[in-house]
Amino acid sequence: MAKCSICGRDAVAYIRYQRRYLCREHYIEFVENKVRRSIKRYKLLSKGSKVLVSVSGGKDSAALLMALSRLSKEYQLKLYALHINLGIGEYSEKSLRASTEAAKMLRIPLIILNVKDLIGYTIPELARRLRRPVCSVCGLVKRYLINAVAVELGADAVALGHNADDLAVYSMKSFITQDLEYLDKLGPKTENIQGIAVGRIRPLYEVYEKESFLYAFLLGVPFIHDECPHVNHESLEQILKVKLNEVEEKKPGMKIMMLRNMAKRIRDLPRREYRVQSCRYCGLLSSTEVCSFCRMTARIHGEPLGPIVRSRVRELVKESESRQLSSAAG
Amino acid sequence: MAKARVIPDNKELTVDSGISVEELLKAAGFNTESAVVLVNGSPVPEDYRVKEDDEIVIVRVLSGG
Ligand SMILES: [Zn+2]
Ligand SMILES: [Zn+2]
Repeated sequence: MAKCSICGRDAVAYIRYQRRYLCREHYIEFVENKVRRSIKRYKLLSKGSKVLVSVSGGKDSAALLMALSRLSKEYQLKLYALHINLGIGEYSEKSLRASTEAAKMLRIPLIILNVKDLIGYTIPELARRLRRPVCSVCGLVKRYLINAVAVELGADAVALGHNADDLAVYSMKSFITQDLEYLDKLGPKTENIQGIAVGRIRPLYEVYEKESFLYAFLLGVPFIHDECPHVNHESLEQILKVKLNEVEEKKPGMKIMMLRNMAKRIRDLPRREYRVQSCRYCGLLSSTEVCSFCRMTARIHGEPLGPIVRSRVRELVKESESRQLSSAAG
Repeated sequence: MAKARVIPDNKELTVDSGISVEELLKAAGFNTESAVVLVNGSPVPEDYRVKEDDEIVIVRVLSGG
Protein backbone atom coordinates (compact mmCIF):
# COMPACT_ATOMS: atom_id res chain seq x y z
CA MET A 1 0.00 0.00 0.00
CA ALA A 2 1.33 3.39 -0.99
CA LYS A 3 2.10 5.75 1.90
CA CYS A 4 1.43 9.47 2.38
CA SER A 5 4.40 11.50 1.12
CA ILE A 6 4.05 13.80 4.14
CA CYS A 7 3.37 11.55 7.12
CA GLY A 8 3.75 7.95 6.00
CA ARG A 9 0.22 6.82 6.77
CA ASP A 10 -1.80 4.81 4.21
CA ALA A 11 -2.50 6.97 1.16
CA VAL A 12 -6.03 7.56 -0.15
CA ALA A 13 -4.96 9.25 -3.38
CA TYR A 14 -2.07 10.10 -5.65
CA ILE A 15 -1.89 13.70 -6.87
CA ARG A 16 -0.47 13.25 -10.34
CA TYR A 17 0.47 16.89 -11.00
CA GLN A 18 2.30 17.14 -7.67
CA ARG A 19 3.72 13.62 -7.80
CA ARG A 20 2.78 12.84 -4.25
CA TYR A 21 0.59 10.50 -2.25
CA LEU A 22 -1.70 11.82 0.46
CA CYS A 23 -3.43 10.22 3.43
CA ARG A 24 -6.98 11.18 4.44
CA GLU A 25 -5.94 14.06 6.73
CA HIS A 26 -3.41 15.49 4.32
CA TYR A 27 -5.83 15.16 1.41
CA ILE A 28 -8.42 17.22 3.29
CA GLU A 29 -5.76 19.79 4.14
CA PHE A 30 -4.61 19.82 0.49
CA VAL A 31 -8.10 20.70 -0.80
CA GLU A 32 -8.71 23.28 1.93
CA ASN A 33 -5.37 24.93 1.18
CA LYS A 34 -6.44 25.20 -2.45
CA VAL A 35 -9.65 26.94 -1.41
CA ARG A 36 -7.77 29.17 1.00
CA ARG A 37 -5.25 30.09 -1.71
CA SER A 38 -8.01 30.91 -4.20
CA ILE A 39 -9.76 33.09 -1.63
CA LYS A 40 -6.52 34.99 -1.19
CA ARG A 41 -5.26 35.01 -4.78
CA TYR A 42 -8.59 36.11 -6.26
CA LYS A 43 -9.75 38.16 -3.26
CA LEU A 44 -13.00 36.21 -3.02
CA LEU A 45 -13.88 37.05 0.56
CA SER A 46 -12.96 39.49 3.23
CA LYS A 47 -13.17 38.96 6.98
CA GLY A 48 -16.71 39.04 8.30
CA SER A 49 -18.39 38.44 4.91
CA LYS A 50 -22.00 37.32 4.76
CA VAL A 51 -22.10 34.53 2.18
CA LEU A 52 -25.04 32.78 0.56
CA VAL A 53 -24.01 29.27 -0.51
CA SER A 54 -26.03 27.74 -3.29
CA VAL A 55 -26.51 24.01 -2.61
CA SER A 56 -27.93 21.51 -5.08
CA GLY A 57 -27.45 18.30 -3.10
CA GLY A 58 -24.58 17.09 -5.30
CA LYS A 59 -20.91 16.55 -4.43
CA ASP A 60 -19.66 20.02 -5.37
CA SER A 61 -22.06 21.97 -3.22
CA ALA A 62 -21.44 19.50 -0.39
CA ALA A 63 -17.70 20.11 -0.71
CA LEU A 64 -18.26 23.87 -0.97
CA LEU A 65 -20.50 24.03 2.10
CA MET A 66 -18.07 21.90 4.10
CA ALA A 67 -14.97 23.86 3.05
CA LEU A 68 -16.56 27.24 3.81
CA SER A 69 -17.92 25.96 7.08
CA ARG A 70 -14.46 24.74 8.10
CA LEU A 71 -12.90 28.06 7.06
CA SER A 72 -15.66 30.17 8.60
CA LYS A 73 -13.87 30.69 11.93
CA GLU A 74 -10.71 31.84 10.22
CA TYR A 75 -12.60 34.29 8.02
CA GLN A 76 -15.42 35.03 10.48
CA LEU A 77 -17.94 34.18 7.78
CA LYS A 78 -21.67 34.38 8.23
CA LEU A 79 -22.97 31.51 6.13
CA TYR A 80 -26.44 30.88 4.74
CA ALA A 81 -27.36 28.02 2.42
CA LEU A 82 -29.98 28.12 -0.31
CA HIS A 83 -31.58 25.11 -1.95
CA ILE A 84 -33.94 25.45 -4.89
CA ASN A 85 -36.42 22.63 -5.40
CA LEU A 86 -36.74 22.35 -9.18
CA GLY A 87 -39.53 19.78 -9.20
CA ILE A 88 -37.62 17.20 -11.23
CA GLY A 89 -39.31 14.13 -9.74
CA GLU A 90 -37.43 11.81 -7.42
CA TYR A 91 -34.13 13.50 -8.30
CA SER A 92 -35.31 16.77 -6.73
CA GLU A 93 -36.70 15.01 -3.66
CA LYS A 94 -33.39 13.28 -3.02
CA SER A 95 -31.50 16.54 -3.66
CA LEU A 96 -33.63 18.37 -1.12
CA ARG A 97 -33.07 15.65 1.47
CA ALA A 98 -29.29 15.66 0.98
CA SER A 99 -29.11 19.47 1.12
CA THR A 100 -31.18 19.56 4.30
CA GLU A 101 -29.00 16.93 5.96
CA ALA A 102 -25.77 18.67 4.95
CA ALA A 103 -26.94 22.05 6.27
CA LYS A 104 -28.12 20.43 9.50
CA MET A 105 -24.82 18.61 9.99
CA LEU A 106 -22.87 21.86 9.56
CA ARG A 107 -25.44 23.98 11.45
CA ILE A 108 -25.87 26.39 8.59
CA PRO A 109 -29.31 28.00 8.19
CA LEU A 110 -30.96 26.71 5.02
CA ILE A 111 -33.43 28.66 2.92
CA ILE A 112 -35.54 26.46 0.65
CA LEU A 113 -37.36 27.77 -2.42
CA ASN A 114 -39.80 25.68 -4.41
CA VAL A 115 -40.09 26.62 -8.08
CA LYS A 116 -43.60 25.18 -8.39
CA ASP A 117 -44.85 27.20 -5.39
CA LEU A 118 -43.27 30.39 -6.70
CA ILE A 119 -44.06 30.17 -10.41
CA GLY A 120 -46.89 27.65 -10.54
CA TYR A 121 -44.94 25.12 -12.59
CA THR A 122 -41.99 22.82 -12.09
CA ILE A 123 -38.89 23.34 -14.27
CA PRO A 124 -39.81 20.55 -16.76
CA GLU A 125 -43.39 21.90 -16.97
CA LEU A 126 -42.08 25.41 -17.59
CA ALA A 127 -39.71 24.17 -20.30
CA ARG A 128 -42.56 22.33 -22.03
CA ARG A 129 -44.83 25.36 -21.97
CA LEU A 130 -42.09 27.64 -23.24
CA ARG A 131 -40.81 25.08 -25.77
CA ARG A 132 -37.30 25.68 -24.55
CA PRO A 133 -34.58 23.25 -23.43
CA VAL A 134 -34.96 22.24 -19.76
CA CYS A 135 -31.36 23.18 -18.91
CA SER A 136 -31.68 26.72 -20.25
CA VAL A 137 -34.93 27.38 -18.36
CA CYS A 138 -33.42 25.83 -15.25
CA GLY A 139 -30.32 28.03 -15.48
CA LEU A 140 -32.36 31.18 -15.95
CA VAL A 141 -34.70 30.47 -13.01
CA LYS A 142 -31.87 29.44 -10.69
CA ARG A 143 -29.75 32.50 -11.49
CA TYR A 144 -32.71 34.79 -10.85
CA LEU A 145 -33.78 33.16 -7.59
CA ILE A 146 -30.26 32.93 -6.18
CA ASN A 147 -29.69 36.62 -6.86
CA ALA A 148 -33.10 37.56 -5.45
CA VAL A 149 -32.34 35.75 -2.17
CA ALA A 150 -28.82 37.21 -1.97
CA VAL A 151 -30.13 40.76 -2.46
CA GLU A 152 -32.83 40.34 0.24
CA LEU A 153 -30.31 38.82 2.59
CA GLY A 154 -27.88 41.67 2.03
CA ALA A 155 -25.20 39.09 1.28
CA ASP A 156 -21.68 40.17 0.33
CA ALA A 157 -21.30 37.24 -2.05
CA VAL A 158 -23.01 34.18 -3.49
CA ALA A 159 -20.77 31.09 -3.42
CA LEU A 160 -21.22 28.69 -6.33
CA GLY A 161 -19.96 25.11 -6.50
CA HIS A 162 -18.38 25.17 -9.96
CA ASN A 163 -15.17 23.15 -9.94
CA ALA A 164 -12.06 23.45 -12.13
CA ASP A 165 -13.35 20.88 -14.63
CA ASP A 166 -16.67 22.70 -15.08
CA LEU A 167 -14.95 26.01 -15.73
CA ALA A 168 -12.32 24.56 -18.06
CA VAL A 169 -15.14 23.00 -20.09
CA TYR A 170 -17.21 26.22 -20.24
CA SER A 171 -14.12 28.09 -21.36
CA MET A 172 -13.38 25.52 -24.12
CA LYS A 173 -16.99 25.72 -25.18
CA SER A 174 -16.91 29.49 -25.45
CA PHE A 175 -13.78 29.14 -27.60
CA ILE A 176 -15.36 26.57 -29.90
CA THR A 177 -18.55 28.57 -30.33
CA GLN A 178 -16.43 31.77 -30.44
CA ASP A 179 -18.71 33.24 -27.83
CA LEU A 180 -15.65 34.97 -26.38
CA GLU A 181 -17.50 37.69 -24.51
CA TYR A 182 -18.77 34.93 -22.27
CA LEU A 183 -15.24 34.32 -20.99
CA ASP A 184 -15.31 37.09 -18.39
CA LYS A 185 -18.24 35.38 -16.66
CA LEU A 186 -16.10 32.29 -16.04
CA GLY A 187 -13.57 33.75 -13.66
CA PRO A 188 -13.30 33.13 -9.92
CA LYS A 189 -15.66 36.01 -9.19
CA THR A 190 -18.05 38.62 -10.55
CA GLU A 191 -18.56 42.04 -9.03
CA ASN A 192 -21.37 43.36 -6.85
CA ILE A 193 -23.75 45.90 -8.29
CA GLN A 194 -25.25 47.74 -5.38
CA GLY A 195 -28.88 46.80 -4.73
CA ILE A 196 -29.52 44.87 -7.94
CA ALA A 197 -26.98 42.06 -8.12
CA VAL A 198 -24.75 40.28 -5.61
CA GLY A 199 -21.35 39.17 -6.89
CA ARG A 200 -20.70 35.46 -7.34
CA ILE A 201 -17.57 33.69 -6.12
CA ARG A 202 -16.22 30.26 -7.00
CA PRO A 203 -14.11 28.98 -4.11
CA LEU A 204 -13.62 25.59 -5.87
CA TYR A 205 -12.09 27.37 -8.89
CA GLU A 206 -8.87 25.33 -8.70
CA VAL A 207 -10.37 22.16 -7.19
CA TYR A 208 -10.68 19.31 -9.68
CA GLU A 209 -13.98 17.50 -10.01
CA LYS A 210 -12.46 14.33 -8.59
CA GLU A 211 -10.92 16.24 -5.68
CA SER A 212 -14.26 17.83 -4.86
CA PHE A 213 -15.87 14.39 -4.73
CA LEU A 214 -13.13 12.86 -2.57
CA TYR A 215 -13.10 15.80 -0.17
CA ALA A 216 -16.87 15.64 0.41
CA PHE A 217 -16.69 11.84 0.66
CA LEU A 218 -13.79 11.79 3.15
CA LEU A 219 -15.55 14.30 5.40
CA GLY A 220 -18.86 12.46 5.23
CA VAL A 221 -21.03 15.36 4.06
CA PRO A 222 -24.30 13.96 2.73
CA PHE A 223 -24.71 14.26 -1.05
CA ILE A 224 -26.44 12.33 -3.80
CA HIS A 225 -24.77 10.22 -6.46
CA ASP A 226 -27.73 10.55 -8.81
CA GLU A 227 -27.42 12.38 -12.06
CA CYS A 228 -30.03 14.88 -13.19
CA PRO A 229 -32.27 12.96 -15.64
CA HIS A 230 -32.01 15.88 -18.07
CA VAL A 231 -28.23 15.61 -18.51
CA ASN A 232 -27.45 15.03 -22.17
CA HIS A 233 -24.34 12.88 -22.54
CA GLU A 234 -23.98 13.89 -26.16
CA SER A 235 -23.85 17.60 -25.37
CA LEU A 236 -20.73 19.58 -26.29
CA GLU A 237 -19.97 20.11 -22.57
CA GLN A 238 -20.01 16.40 -21.80
CA ILE A 239 -17.85 15.55 -24.80
CA LEU A 240 -15.35 18.27 -23.89
CA LYS A 241 -15.18 17.06 -20.30
CA VAL A 242 -14.09 13.61 -21.45
CA LYS A 243 -11.55 15.07 -23.90
CA LEU A 244 -10.06 17.49 -21.37
CA ASN A 245 -9.52 14.65 -18.93
CA GLU A 246 -7.75 12.64 -21.63
CA VAL A 247 -5.38 15.58 -22.03
CA GLU A 248 -5.01 15.97 -18.26
CA GLU A 249 -4.02 12.31 -17.95
CA LYS A 250 -1.14 12.88 -20.37
CA LYS A 251 -0.35 16.42 -19.20
CA PRO A 252 -1.00 16.44 -15.45
CA GLY A 253 -1.75 19.94 -14.15
CA MET A 254 -3.06 21.20 -17.49
CA LYS A 255 -6.47 22.14 -16.09
CA ILE A 256 -5.03 24.23 -13.26
CA MET A 257 -2.61 25.97 -15.62
CA MET A 258 -5.47 26.78 -17.97
CA LEU A 259 -7.64 28.23 -15.20
CA ARG A 260 -4.90 30.32 -13.62
CA ASN A 261 -4.06 31.79 -17.00
CA MET A 262 -7.74 32.35 -17.69
CA ALA A 263 -8.17 34.25 -14.41
CA LYS A 264 -5.25 36.51 -15.39
CA ARG A 265 -6.63 37.08 -18.89
CA ILE A 266 -10.03 37.97 -17.50
CA ARG A 267 -8.49 40.36 -15.00
CA ASP A 268 -6.53 42.11 -17.77
CA LEU A 269 -9.38 42.27 -20.28
CA PRO A 270 -10.54 45.79 -21.00
CA ARG A 271 -13.63 46.39 -18.88
CA ARG A 272 -16.57 46.09 -21.18
CA GLU A 273 -19.18 48.77 -20.94
CA TYR A 274 -22.07 46.82 -19.53
CA ARG A 275 -25.38 48.42 -19.89
CA VAL A 276 -26.39 47.76 -16.35
CA GLN A 277 -29.94 48.54 -15.58
CA SER A 278 -32.59 47.32 -13.24
CA CYS A 279 -35.73 45.60 -14.48
CA ARG A 280 -38.68 47.99 -14.60
CA TYR A 281 -40.90 45.35 -12.97
CA CYS A 282 -38.80 43.66 -10.29
CA GLY A 283 -35.86 46.06 -9.96
CA LEU A 284 -33.16 43.39 -10.23
CA LEU A 285 -30.25 43.22 -12.68
CA SER A 286 -31.17 43.21 -16.33
CA SER A 287 -29.42 43.86 -19.62
CA THR A 288 -32.62 45.17 -21.15
CA GLU A 289 -35.59 47.12 -19.82
CA VAL A 290 -37.33 43.95 -18.60
CA CYS A 291 -35.30 41.11 -17.08
CA SER A 292 -35.39 37.65 -18.61
CA PHE A 293 -37.25 36.19 -15.63
CA CYS A 294 -40.04 38.77 -15.84
CA ARG A 295 -40.21 38.30 -19.61
CA MET A 296 -40.41 34.52 -19.29
CA THR A 297 -43.08 34.54 -16.58
CA ALA A 298 -45.10 37.16 -18.47
CA ARG A 299 -45.22 34.80 -21.44
CA ILE A 300 -46.80 32.16 -19.25
CA HIS A 301 -48.98 34.07 -16.83
CA GLY A 302 -49.69 37.21 -18.82
CA GLU A 303 -47.91 39.27 -16.19
CA PRO A 304 -44.33 39.33 -14.94
CA LEU A 305 -43.91 37.41 -11.68
CA GLY A 306 -40.68 39.10 -10.58
CA PRO A 307 -42.34 41.46 -8.06
CA ILE A 308 -44.46 38.70 -6.44
CA VAL A 309 -41.54 36.30 -6.31
CA ARG A 310 -39.37 38.96 -4.70
CA SER A 311 -41.85 39.69 -1.94
CA ARG A 312 -42.26 35.96 -1.24
CA VAL A 313 -38.47 35.61 -1.13
CA ARG A 314 -38.32 38.56 1.28
CA GLU A 315 -40.73 36.78 3.67
CA LEU A 316 -38.75 33.55 3.51
CA VAL A 317 -35.48 35.34 4.21
CA LYS A 318 -37.05 37.17 7.17
CA GLU A 319 -38.42 33.90 8.57
CA SER A 320 -35.01 32.32 8.26
CA GLU A 321 -33.31 35.26 9.98
CA SER A 322 -35.79 35.35 12.85
CA ARG A 323 -35.40 31.57 13.30
CA GLN A 324 -31.66 32.27 13.54
CA LEU A 325 -32.19 34.91 16.18
CA SER A 326 -34.50 32.77 18.30
CA SER A 327 -32.17 29.77 18.12
CA ALA A 328 -29.25 32.00 19.07
CA ALA A 329 -31.26 33.38 21.99
CA GLY A 330 -32.49 29.95 23.11
CA MET B 1 -11.05 -12.75 -8.21
CA ALA B 2 -12.97 -9.85 -6.78
CA LYS B 3 -16.20 -8.09 -7.56
CA ALA B 4 -16.55 -4.45 -8.55
CA ARG B 5 -19.73 -2.39 -8.57
CA VAL B 6 -20.02 0.76 -10.67
CA ILE B 7 -21.93 3.72 -9.18
CA PRO B 8 -24.32 5.25 -10.20
CA ASP B 9 -24.76 2.95 -13.19
CA ASN B 10 -25.24 -0.16 -11.00
CA LYS B 11 -23.14 -2.41 -13.20
CA GLU B 12 -21.20 -5.38 -11.80
CA LEU B 13 -17.76 -6.44 -12.99
CA THR B 14 -15.51 -9.33 -12.09
CA VAL B 15 -11.92 -8.31 -11.50
CA ASP B 16 -8.76 -10.45 -11.48
CA SER B 17 -6.64 -10.20 -8.36
CA GLY B 18 -3.29 -8.54 -8.85
CA ILE B 19 -4.33 -5.92 -11.37
CA SER B 20 -3.88 -2.28 -10.45
CA VAL B 21 -6.72 0.17 -9.99
CA GLU B 22 -5.39 2.11 -12.97
CA GLU B 23 -5.60 -1.01 -15.18
CA LEU B 24 -9.04 -1.75 -13.78
CA LEU B 25 -10.29 1.74 -14.67
CA LYS B 26 -8.83 1.52 -18.18
CA ALA B 27 -10.44 -1.89 -18.74
CA ALA B 28 -13.80 -0.57 -17.54
CA GLY B 29 -13.51 2.39 -19.90
CA PHE B 30 -12.86 5.12 -17.32
CA ASN B 31 -10.36 7.92 -17.24
CA THR B 32 -8.45 8.09 -13.93
CA GLU B 33 -9.56 11.73 -13.71
CA SER B 34 -13.25 10.91 -13.83
CA ALA B 35 -13.58 7.99 -11.44
CA VAL B 36 -12.64 7.17 -7.85
CA VAL B 37 -12.11 3.62 -6.64
CA LEU B 38 -13.12 2.57 -3.14
CA VAL B 39 -11.76 -0.68 -1.71
CA ASN B 40 -13.65 -1.96 1.31
CA GLY B 41 -15.11 1.51 1.73
CA SER B 42 -11.91 3.56 1.48
CA PRO B 43 -10.48 5.40 -1.52
CA VAL B 44 -7.17 4.05 -2.84
CA PRO B 45 -4.46 5.47 -5.15
CA GLU B 46 -4.32 4.17 -8.73
CA ASP B 47 -1.35 1.88 -8.16
CA TYR B 48 -3.22 -0.16 -5.54
CA ARG B 49 -3.33 -3.83 -6.57
CA VAL B 50 -6.59 -5.70 -6.16
CA LYS B 51 -6.55 -8.52 -3.62
CA GLU B 52 -8.70 -11.64 -3.44
CA ASP B 53 -12.17 -10.83 -2.02
CA ASP B 54 -11.67 -7.04 -2.06
CA GLU B 55 -14.98 -5.27 -2.17
CA ILE B 56 -14.54 -2.71 -4.94
CA VAL B 57 -16.72 0.22 -5.86
CA ILE B 58 -15.95 2.35 -8.90
CA VAL B 59 -17.56 5.75 -8.50
CA ARG B 60 -18.12 7.58 -11.73
CA VAL B 61 -17.69 11.18 -10.62
CA LEU B 62 -20.64 13.12 -11.96
CA SER B 63 -20.57 16.59 -13.28
CA GLY B 64 -22.88 19.14 -11.78
CA GLY B 65 -23.95 19.49 -8.23
ZN1 LIG C 1 -0.41 12.23 5.63
ZN1 LIG D 1 -37.69 41.54 -13.54
